[in-house]
Amino acid sequence: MRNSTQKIKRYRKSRYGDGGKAVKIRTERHGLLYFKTVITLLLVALQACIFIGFYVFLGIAFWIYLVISFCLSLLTCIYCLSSNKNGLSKAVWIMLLLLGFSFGFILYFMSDERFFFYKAKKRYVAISERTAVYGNAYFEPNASLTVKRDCQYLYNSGKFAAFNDTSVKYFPSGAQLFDDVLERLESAEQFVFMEFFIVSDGALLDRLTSLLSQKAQSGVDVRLIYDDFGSHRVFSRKAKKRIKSAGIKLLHYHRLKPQFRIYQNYRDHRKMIIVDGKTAYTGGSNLADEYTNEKRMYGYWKDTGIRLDGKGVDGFTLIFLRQWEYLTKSNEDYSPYLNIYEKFESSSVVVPYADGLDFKKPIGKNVYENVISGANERLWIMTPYFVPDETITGLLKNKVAAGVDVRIILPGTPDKLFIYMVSRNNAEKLMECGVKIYCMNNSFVHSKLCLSENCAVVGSINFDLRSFYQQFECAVYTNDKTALSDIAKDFEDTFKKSQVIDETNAKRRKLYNRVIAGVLQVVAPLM
Amino acid sequence: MEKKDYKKYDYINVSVKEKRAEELEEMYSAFLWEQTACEEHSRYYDIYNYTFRRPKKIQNKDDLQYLQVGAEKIFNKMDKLSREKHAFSSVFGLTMGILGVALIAGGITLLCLFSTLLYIISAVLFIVAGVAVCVLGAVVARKLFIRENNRYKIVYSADERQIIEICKQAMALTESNDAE
Repeated sequence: MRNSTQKIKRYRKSRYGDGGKAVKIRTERHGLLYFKTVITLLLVALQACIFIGFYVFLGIAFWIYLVISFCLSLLTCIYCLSSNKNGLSKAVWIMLLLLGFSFGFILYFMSDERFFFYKAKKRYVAISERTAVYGNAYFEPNASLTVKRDCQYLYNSGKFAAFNDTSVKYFPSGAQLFDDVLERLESAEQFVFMEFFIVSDGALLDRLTSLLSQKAQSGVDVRLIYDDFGSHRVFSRKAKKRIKSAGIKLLHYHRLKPQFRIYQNYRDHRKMIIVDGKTAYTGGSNLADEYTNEKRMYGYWKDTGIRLDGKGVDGFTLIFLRQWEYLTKSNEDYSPYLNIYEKFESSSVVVPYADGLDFKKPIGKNVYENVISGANERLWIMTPYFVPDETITGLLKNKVAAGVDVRIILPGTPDKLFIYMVSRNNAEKLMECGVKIYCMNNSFVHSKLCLSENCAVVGSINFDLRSFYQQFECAVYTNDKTALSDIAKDFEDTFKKSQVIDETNAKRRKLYNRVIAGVLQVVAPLM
Repeated sequence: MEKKDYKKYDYINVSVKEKRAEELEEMYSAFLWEQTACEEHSRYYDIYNYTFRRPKKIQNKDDLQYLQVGAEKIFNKMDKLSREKHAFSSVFGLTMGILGVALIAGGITLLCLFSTLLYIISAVLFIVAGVAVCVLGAVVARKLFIRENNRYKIVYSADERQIIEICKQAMALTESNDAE
């Protein structure tokens, strides 16, 4: 260093000489590092350009995506308008599609069972075709024109045959129903089939399983289907293990999984018990203590049920075995379970039927519509939830305007507040047209009943869109005079225990109730 | 505790406060419930857990259940009433007391901090106002207390009569069981 400096000085001096002229000092240069810095800066600049470019691209792409998704949502709106959905669902979907156009069309097609329930539906149809041979042919009952027409509808829609030679017994409470069930099960010899939405740990399940365990061990074929969504909070693993180890065959319907899959919305809401192909029960009661009022949840639990003995039991056996076949994916010969009923002499008509996504039409809703349109004197309805579509609402208004005695009984104590608000709102709108609305005091009404002067429907089908379009249901249609008389008496007893809703105590009087109910109507089709 | 015989009997488990336990037993006996077990609550010394049973097959069971739910509702309402009996007068008295004490404290603070005539007069006024608010609050709270007591007695006795009425209806229904 010193030598080079000295060299520089010497060089400088010799060149420029004396005279005090400036001396240029040459400093050391690290050329490689400088190059590295430049390259670094260039790379950083390149990355910045990429980020900016990507951001600009995303921005442009986002706008392109927005435009495309808006167009797709518009097309989906047109598609929705031309679909078979009911008017209320269409209105709600169109609102969602337009407000949330960036994702609405995705949601719409994900919720369409034709795409995401296609395989299951195909399997159901295949099962129905394979087992059609076990069904009964159509027979025209010796009954009024209204009943004949209803039976024709049920046969044409789902091949649900009408039966006579069947005795019908009505139970005005879940406690009476299950007392009878337990008594009947003691004499079960061949098979016991049960299907419930809710199976819950408790005294009732203990009674049933202790009885059925003995039966299973003595060779009786005991099968139980439960819905996993309905039972997941109340049916413990311990109880399931105990039931299985007792020899009872246990199957769940659509296990509840933490996945965003639309089929999880479709639940098995049926309630039925079949004993030896000779007796069948259905109604609103699930296998849980609150249904027999041994557990207090929402005040007095009002429920109902019906028992069939005779030919009509085959209808329920077929419905159960088809569901069992769907869940087990195994073909079975149904003949040992059918045509083993005891004969009863009866000219009354009984039609056990089912509803679900395996059928093209919403049979449960249409049967209610037929019953409503066939009523000329009285039409009494008992339901926990009242969220009908515009067709049923229109029919009810027309009936009351024509002088038919239309009455609806709702719960006095709700289980789900929001659904109750919508139900009350819908019912009170009908009240303004002349329909009489009752709320049973201190009670949660869980019965699903529809009674006219000609016939009655007793089963698991609520008067709401969920039951009509998204759940598997079952019920009995009958014109049996004794049953109609018992159901009418039950209605009359319940009217005495209910508060009549009129202008002075209607909740719709209060503005906030109307506002909240109006907002909730948006999700009413999903309720 | 004896093993439950679900075949012959229905069972129900009820928790109740010690002071109303006798009343509860009487009420349930009207619905044919028979006490089979009574245990102290594991955590609260004044709560008992009762187990009742009654025969599974009885006449008019649904009507009895319905009446029982009505009686239970009124029973719980009476309990809630006795807990909230003096809620308003207590809150009112407390609020006025706190306000009065705050005024007095404010006056004393002014006296301690300042010595000019204006502040002394203000301080005295604050203290007087504070005392007045406390006295007024106490007087009004006591009047409210007495009024609440009277109202509570009326409502409580009306609820008691309602429960007695329900129990009478239940006993009329259960007479048919005894007759058998």
